[in-house]
Amino acid sequence: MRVLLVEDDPLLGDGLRAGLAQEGYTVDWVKDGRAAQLAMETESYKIIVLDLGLPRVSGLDLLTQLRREGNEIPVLILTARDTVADRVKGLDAGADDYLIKPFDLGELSARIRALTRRRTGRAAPVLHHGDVALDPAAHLVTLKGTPVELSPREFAVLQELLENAGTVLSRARLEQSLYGWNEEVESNAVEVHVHHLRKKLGANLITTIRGVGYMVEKDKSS
Amino acid sequence: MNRHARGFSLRGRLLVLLLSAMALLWTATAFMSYFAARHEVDELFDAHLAQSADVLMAQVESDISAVAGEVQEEEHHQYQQRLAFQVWGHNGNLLLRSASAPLTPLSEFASGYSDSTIEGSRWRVFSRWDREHEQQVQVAQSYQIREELAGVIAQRLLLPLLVGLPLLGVLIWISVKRGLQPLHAISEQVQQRAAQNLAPIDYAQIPDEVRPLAGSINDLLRRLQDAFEIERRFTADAAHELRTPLAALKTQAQVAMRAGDDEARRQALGQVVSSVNRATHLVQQLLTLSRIEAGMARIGEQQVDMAQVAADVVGEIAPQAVAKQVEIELVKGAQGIVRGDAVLLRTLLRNLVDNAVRYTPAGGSVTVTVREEDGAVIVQVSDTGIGIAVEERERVFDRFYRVLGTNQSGSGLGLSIVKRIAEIHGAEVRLDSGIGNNGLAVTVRFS
Repeated sequence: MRVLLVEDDPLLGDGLRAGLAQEGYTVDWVKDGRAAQLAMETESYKIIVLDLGLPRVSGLDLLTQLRREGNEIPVLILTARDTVADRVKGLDAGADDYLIKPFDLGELSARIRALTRRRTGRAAPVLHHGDVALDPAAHLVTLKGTPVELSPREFAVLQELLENAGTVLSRARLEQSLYGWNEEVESNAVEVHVHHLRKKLGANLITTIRGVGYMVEKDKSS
Repeated sequence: MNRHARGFSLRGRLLVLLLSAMALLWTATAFMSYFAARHEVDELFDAHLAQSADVLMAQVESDISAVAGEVQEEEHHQYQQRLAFQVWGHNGNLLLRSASAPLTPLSEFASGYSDSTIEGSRWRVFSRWDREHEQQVQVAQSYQIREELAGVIAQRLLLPLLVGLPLLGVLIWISVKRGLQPLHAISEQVQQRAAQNLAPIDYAQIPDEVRPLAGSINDLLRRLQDAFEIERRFTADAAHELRTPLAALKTQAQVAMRAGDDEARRQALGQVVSSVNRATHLVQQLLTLSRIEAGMARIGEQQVDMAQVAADVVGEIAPQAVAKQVEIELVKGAQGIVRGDAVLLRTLLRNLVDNAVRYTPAGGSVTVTVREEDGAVIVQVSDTGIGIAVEERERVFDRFYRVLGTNQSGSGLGLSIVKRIAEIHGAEVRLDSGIGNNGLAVTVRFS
């Protein structure tokens, strides 16, 4: 899952990128509002983690503009200001959630999960498809109740497919959600991950649409 | 607050001043009345004396022999003893006299008024001749009468003063108290305020005389409010600024805890240390700034050799520069003696040089120059770093303002500190483009 991190502080930004990567997110880190606008024009993100105290284009301005353009991407704001008025201002500008510095990495991760889950129309945290269950918080995938060992990238591909069940996802789209800017995309990587997933979870889970991409059918049981 | 601890009482002063003025005025009035009364009494009695002489003369002319000798008077009035008359013949024989008159003439034989001293007391005499110049009539009156009369008049005037003055004192005391009531009300108003209430004193109930004082107090209150506001904002800003390094610290620590391999953990721990260093630096800068702002830093008045200070600072930061592959150089054009505080001036220069090295990439250079120009000492730190855009040059002096895109985590306070120290020393700080129109040149001019 691809996350846009907008944070001007080098040490905090570095920590967040590392921490979110540990949680299995693909993180693009930009340091000011202008760069964030550019990033959003070229890439598509599941969520934005936005520091309000940004130089150039302030976090609040960026958020207001985003919402004015009708962009409904989930936005979680990070702020040093903790008065009710500050928080209200952030939420009113269109933020979906906020965290006050300093925060817990686990909490940040949980809130990101909650926000993306809501956005895909699910209230339940665990994704189900037939015998397969994926718990994003625990980073756990089970087949008929038995845990299955998956690499972080395999996990990410599966999550992306399950969250968009019934939709065909292009190879490029899957790659985009797997790799950040500075990461080298291995050729055939997506094919390899899909191959492994089929081996571990059964051949019928993921359907290949030739020339287009992959999809998981809408689960009739859920 | 002890009211009696004050130097003097306004009420007491007013009482003494007003009573003294009243007493003086009253006494002067009494004196003037005494002299005026004396004058009138003199005129009146003189006229009376002349009339008496005329009457006597009329009687003497009709029949002197009938009355010759000494007139035996009956005591009618206490003043009778002080009235006397004589009738003299033209050859100098005493024809007639009152019992109170002496045997010698009351005055020289003349016409009109004269003063004479008889038996130790002063008399007023009126003399006249008859038409044939044969008989001289002299009528005299003791001055004592006149003095007594005038004295009584003056006394009657002074007497109310003795009774009136204390009464007046009481009245003044009460009036002044009532008059000063508004002052008391203001002092109550100020005394009953909470310490946080810095609202100005309400002008509506203030008498004109106290307005300048209330104005000064309001002025002070306003300045206090401004100072408190700056202080409050500073504290709030400082607390918020510390939250970011703390967030970085916590995040990096958690990354280290979760790191799967040693390399990732070591890297995260390295970032933890960097975060702590940054928080420490920020706290240090905050302390420096707050000491300067509070005026707590003792502003010394030493002769400070800026060239020496520059040499010390460059020596101190050189290892940092070398590690970063930034060339650092000191150019001493003059000794550059500045009057001021050595510690603060050192802080100023260290902030400038540290900034220059921090924002200059590897391969760049930093030059520190100390020189004299028109009697002013000039210290300049120029670099080949990223510089500051012209439109940002004013704002970089604001607290916590950071220049963007530097990848450097400064405190945002360095230039604020520089500016404050410069202000304290009456120096000017100017920002220009640096070496070869690149980077930044900071010029501090001590004049």
